[in-house]
Amino acid sequence: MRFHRSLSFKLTAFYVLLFVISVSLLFAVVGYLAQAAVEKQIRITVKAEAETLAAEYKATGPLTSAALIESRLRRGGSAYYLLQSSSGTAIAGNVTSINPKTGPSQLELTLVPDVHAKSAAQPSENRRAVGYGVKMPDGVFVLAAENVDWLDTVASAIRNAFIAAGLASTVLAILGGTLLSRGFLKRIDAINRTASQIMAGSITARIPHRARGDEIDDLAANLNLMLSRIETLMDNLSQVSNDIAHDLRTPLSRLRQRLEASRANAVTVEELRSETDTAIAETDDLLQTFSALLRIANIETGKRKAGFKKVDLSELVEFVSATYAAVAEDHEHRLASDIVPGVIIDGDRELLLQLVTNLIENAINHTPAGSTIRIALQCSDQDVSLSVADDGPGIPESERQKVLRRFYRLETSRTTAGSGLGLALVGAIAELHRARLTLADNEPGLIVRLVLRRA
Amino acid sequence: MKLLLIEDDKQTADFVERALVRDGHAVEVAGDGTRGLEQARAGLFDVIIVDRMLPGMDGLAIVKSLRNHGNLTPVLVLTALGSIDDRVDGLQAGGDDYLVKPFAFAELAARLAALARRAVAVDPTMKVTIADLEVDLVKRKVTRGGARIILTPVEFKVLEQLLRHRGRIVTKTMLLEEVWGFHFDPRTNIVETHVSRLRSKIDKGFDYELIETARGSGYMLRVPDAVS
Repeated sequence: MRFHRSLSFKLTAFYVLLFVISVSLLFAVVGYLAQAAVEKQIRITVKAEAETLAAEYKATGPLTSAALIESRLRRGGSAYYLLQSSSGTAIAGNVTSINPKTGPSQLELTLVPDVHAKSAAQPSENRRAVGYGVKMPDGVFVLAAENVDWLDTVASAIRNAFIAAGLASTVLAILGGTLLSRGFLKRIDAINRTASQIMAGSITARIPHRARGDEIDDLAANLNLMLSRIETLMDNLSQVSNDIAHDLRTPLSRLRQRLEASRANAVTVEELRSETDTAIAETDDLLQTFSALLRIANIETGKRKAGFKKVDLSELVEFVSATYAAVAEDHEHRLASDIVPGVIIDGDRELLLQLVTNLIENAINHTPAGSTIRIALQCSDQDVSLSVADDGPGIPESERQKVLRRFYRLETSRTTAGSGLGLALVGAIAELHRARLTLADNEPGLIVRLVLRRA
Repeated sequence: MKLLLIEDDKQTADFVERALVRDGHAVEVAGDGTRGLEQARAGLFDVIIVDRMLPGMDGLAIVKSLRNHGNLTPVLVLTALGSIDDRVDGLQAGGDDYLVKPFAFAELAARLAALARRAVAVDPTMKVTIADLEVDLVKRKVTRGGARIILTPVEFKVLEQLLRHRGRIVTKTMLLEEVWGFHFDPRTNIVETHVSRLRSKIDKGFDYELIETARGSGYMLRVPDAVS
């Protein structure tokens, strides 16, 4: 990472630039306001002086006012006075005569060599001043002014102070900016490092963060939650892959053995045919397992939701139980149904058909002869409840959630036919329909209940 | 029958072609979609068998193109295992039937026969008489030898399917799809159960058995020339 391209540099540079601009702006405003305030004060003073002198002149005449000016000048300072006759000759004061102008003005004044003045100012020296002039009715001109050269000195002192302070602040800004952005980037780095670790294979790595922190801590916490979710999904996936590999290997090995044995032992064509038929049947079972797995995966994508339509669940359950009443009878079971008519829900007819079929077939296949299976469809104002209950051996409480997993089979049913995917498929279909699926004790037997929302 | 098989998998194509020729059909084979469509347009076929996934042109696109050009030759779409939406897509595109790969050849043969016949005459009959069996499809009344036979609604639906394809094999899968709307294999013998009940009502006590079991593939309602 080259320094000038790093976020740290960019952040700091931006921070410093912003700081310099604001300091300059502050200087400009403060300098202007200070100068304006002083100048305003001077204007007020010189105007008052000039008006006092004019009043004195009017009341007592030129001699007394000249004396007054002399006494003022004796006090020293940076004040300038001028009493000028109508012909333009200076009568009294410490500056040479000027072109008379009434009211406030900016002036360039030339000093008169002054016997009273302690300063050794050169006579020819020009001074910048702010003055106020009053013209008397007899043509005499009175001027009071104040030197403003010192204002420049003050302004440059202020500027120097600002430059010094600005430089110091810039250094501080660079330092502060660097420290701040370093701290910030260190935490971004922590996130980056964790991401690299995860990409390198350690899925359990997590981003360090404080429990109660700022937005970055929140971000880290959220990323960690997301990572945990991904880890769970990956675990599920590898679990499923393992299950598939394991559960498909067994029937495939069996099939291979059978083929090998029939090749070695079958003597007549008839024998070979019958062995081949069995092998084909076993292959079909395997294909059906694949089909069921793909179907579950397909349902779990949720895409089928787009095709949801109004389904008459009463009619559907009635139809399935009418079909299976005969099948149950052939298996020496009894099938009874209690179905409320006219229950309509939003759903996928084909999948619901498979769900009901799977539940009934499970009940037939996993209960002994003589068992009774009861199918019930009830509904309340909001909910629809579909249940399939039997009075067989049931499922122990600790196993009830597990049987919904793919390939999970109870010890007692290992020997019966089936892929171990029937209930997993039921679970996926229930999930797609946002239905609550529960397995409970029917005392005796198992009751599977599905609670759906009414359309 | 004259058939067109559009299938890119050489092994499947060979297997199906050989079996169809052995059954006495004339078969043309196309290995990709583009050529398949050309051949389908050029020739007259009783049924076209098209694989869903093809190089060049998708199977469904071929069916759509044929239908858009007014070609109404029955089409059987072959789809991949486990994909539930393929069937709906295939039928929407204008396919007449579908079959999931891998399939038993007997299943394919039965479906081809059903498709070819459907195209010739969509049965408008309301009363069907086979030998001494009389079925009123509208009143849902069945008699054999003049005696009334009471069937459950499910049994009647099974009989209806056998009648529609009389003289031809109706496979278990065809019955599952058409009678029950099951597009999956149930784990109990619901077809056997209901066919055997139907058979016991229709054939029991008669010399001539109308419902015949085609071992390993399905059932057939026999049409005896001599009797009818």
